[in-house]
Amino acid sequence: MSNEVKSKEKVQMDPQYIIKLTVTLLITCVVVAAALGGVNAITAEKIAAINWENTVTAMKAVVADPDGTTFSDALELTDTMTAAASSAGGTLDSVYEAQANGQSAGYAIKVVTSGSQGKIEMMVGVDAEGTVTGVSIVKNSETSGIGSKVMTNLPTANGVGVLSQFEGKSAADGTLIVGSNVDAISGATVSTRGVTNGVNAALAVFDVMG
Amino acid sequence: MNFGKQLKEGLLTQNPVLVQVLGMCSTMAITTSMANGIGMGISVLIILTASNVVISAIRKVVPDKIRIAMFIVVIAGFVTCVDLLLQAFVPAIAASLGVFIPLIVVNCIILGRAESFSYKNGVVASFVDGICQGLGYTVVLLVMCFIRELLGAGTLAGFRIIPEQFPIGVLTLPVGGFLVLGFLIAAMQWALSKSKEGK
Amino acid sequence: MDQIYQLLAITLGAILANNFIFSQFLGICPFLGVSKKVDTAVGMGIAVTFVMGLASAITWLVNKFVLVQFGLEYMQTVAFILVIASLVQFIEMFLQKSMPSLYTALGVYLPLITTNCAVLGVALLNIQENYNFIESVVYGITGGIGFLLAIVLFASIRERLVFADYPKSFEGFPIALVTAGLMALAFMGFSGLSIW
Repeated sequence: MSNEVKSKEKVQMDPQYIIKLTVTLLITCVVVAAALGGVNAITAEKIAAINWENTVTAMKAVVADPDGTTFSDALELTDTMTAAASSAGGTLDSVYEAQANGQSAGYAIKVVTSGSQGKIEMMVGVDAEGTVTGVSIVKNSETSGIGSKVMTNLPTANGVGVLSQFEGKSAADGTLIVGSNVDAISGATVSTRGVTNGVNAALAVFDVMG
Repeated sequence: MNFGKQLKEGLLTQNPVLVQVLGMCSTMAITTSMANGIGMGISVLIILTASNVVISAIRKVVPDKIRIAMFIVVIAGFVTCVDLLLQAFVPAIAASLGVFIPLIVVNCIILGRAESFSYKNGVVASFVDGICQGLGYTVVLLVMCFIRELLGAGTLAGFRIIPEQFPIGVLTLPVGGFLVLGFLIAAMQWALSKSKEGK
Repeated sequence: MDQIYQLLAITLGAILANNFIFSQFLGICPFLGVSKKVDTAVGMGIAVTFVMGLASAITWLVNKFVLVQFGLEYMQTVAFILVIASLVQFIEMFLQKSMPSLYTALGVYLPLITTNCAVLGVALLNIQENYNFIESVVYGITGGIGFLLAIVLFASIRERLVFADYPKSFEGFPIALVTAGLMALAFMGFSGLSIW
C-alpha cells in the first residue's frame, strides 16, 4: 500500500512520467486489440456458421416438413413488427422466411418472453396461411422439475404435449389464453403462460407482415 | 532453475487450488463432468503459460505503477483468443463452460502468478512455472470432476458406471462443489502436516 | 405490467433462487476471504453492490454504443475488465476526495473488487441474457444484494465456528467451504420460488 502512495505522489509531480504511463498502456492496448482482430478474422466465419447451424436446427424443429425446407437469412425487422410482438406480450428477436420447393412456406419467428425465472427464448413456426406449425424452446432458465416440464414438452392433463398443443392454432382462435384455449401443466402455469405469450406475439408479427 | 522442484510445488506443496486457495469460482462451478474439467484445465494451462511468458518478457519496460493494468490487458487478450478458438472449434465445450471462459480473466491464479512470479523471474522460469501451476490446477479440476461425475451422476466421461437409481445427485449441484472441495483441501492439509511431522 | 413482472422475477432470482454465491459460483474469493467478521462482511457486501450496479450500467452502455456499433463484440472481455478496473479506481479517488468518511469505511475493499468475478460476471451475463438497460441495472444491484446477504449470513456463522469442535485438518478453508455448502443446500430451497 505504501508503495502505491509513493508512486501516486510521483505522478502528480512529474508530467513526463504520466505521459510514459499513458503511452505504454496505449501501446499495449493497441497490440492486444490488433492480435484479437487477427484471431477474430480467423474464427468469426466459423463461429457464425456454427450459430447459423444451431438456428437452422431450431427452425427445422418447428416447420411441417423439416427435410424439404430451407431458410432465408434473418429478415429486416420493422417498427410495426416489433410493436405487434410487444403488445402481445413478447419481444421479437428475428424472423426467417421458410421456403419449400422454391415457394414461401411461412416463417420461423424467434421471440423472447418472460417465464417464472427469467427469459424464455423460443422459435415459433407459422405456415403461409398463418397456422402455427410448431414451437420449440431455444433457451430458458425455468426451474428444473417444474417449469422445465413445459420446456421439454411434457403432456398436459389431457394428454397433448404442452408445446404441441399450439400446432394448428392461428389468429382465428383469437388471443391464446391459458385456462381458456390453452392447457397448462399443473404447477407450471407461469411457464406455460410465458410460452403462450410468445406464440401470441409470433402470430401478431405474422399478422402485420401480411 | 529446477524443473522438478517447481513441478512438485505446482502439484503439491504450492498447489494453486488446494494450498493457495485461488481460482475457487471455476473450480467449483464447472467440475460436474470430465469433459468440462479437461476443457477448462487446458484453457487455463495455456492462458497461464502464455501470459506468464509475455509478462516476464515485458517486465523490464513496464512502469511499476501501471503493472496490474498491463497484466489485466495481456491476460484479457489471451482469454479472448482462447474463447474465440473454443467457440470456433469445440462449440460443445464452449457452450457448457459458458461465462466461465471469459471469467478466467479474473481468475486469481493467473493474476496471482503474474504478480508473484513472472514479474520477478526470467522467461524460461516463468514458462515452466506456468506449466507447473497450470497442471496443478488441472489435476485438482480432474479429481473434482472424477468424484462429482462418478458419484453424482454415475457416469465417467459420459459412460454410465453406476446404475441410474443409485448416484448421489446432490453432488452435481452447487452444494456438492462446496463439500467436495472442502474435503479435498482438508485432505491436503492433513497430508502436508503428516509429511512435515515425518521430517 | 410485463416489464414490472420481469424486473421482479430478476430481483427474486438474483437475491434468492439464483444467488451469485450459492448457485452461480461468482465472487467466491472475496466471499471466503473477507468473511471472518460481520462488520467487514457488511462493508464488502455494500461496496460490491455499489460497484456491480454501476458496472452493469456502464458496461451495458459501452457494449451498446461502442462495441456493437463498431462490430467489436469480440473485444467484450477486454473492454469490460478495463471499464471495471478504471471505474473502481475512479470511485476510490472520488470517495477519497468528497466523502472521506465513506472512504475509510469502504476504501480497503475497493481494490479487491476489480478481480471479483461477480462484477465481470454480471456484466457478461447482462449481455448474454439480452437484458435491456433497466433490467441490467436491476440485475446488477440485486445480484449485489444477494452477495451481501450471503456474505453477512456466512460471516455470522463463521464467527461462531470459532467455538466449534472439528478435526484439525479442517481448520481454515475446509470448514468454511463445508459451511458454505450447507448454506447452499438451504438456498436450494428457494429454487422454484416465483412471483405469482
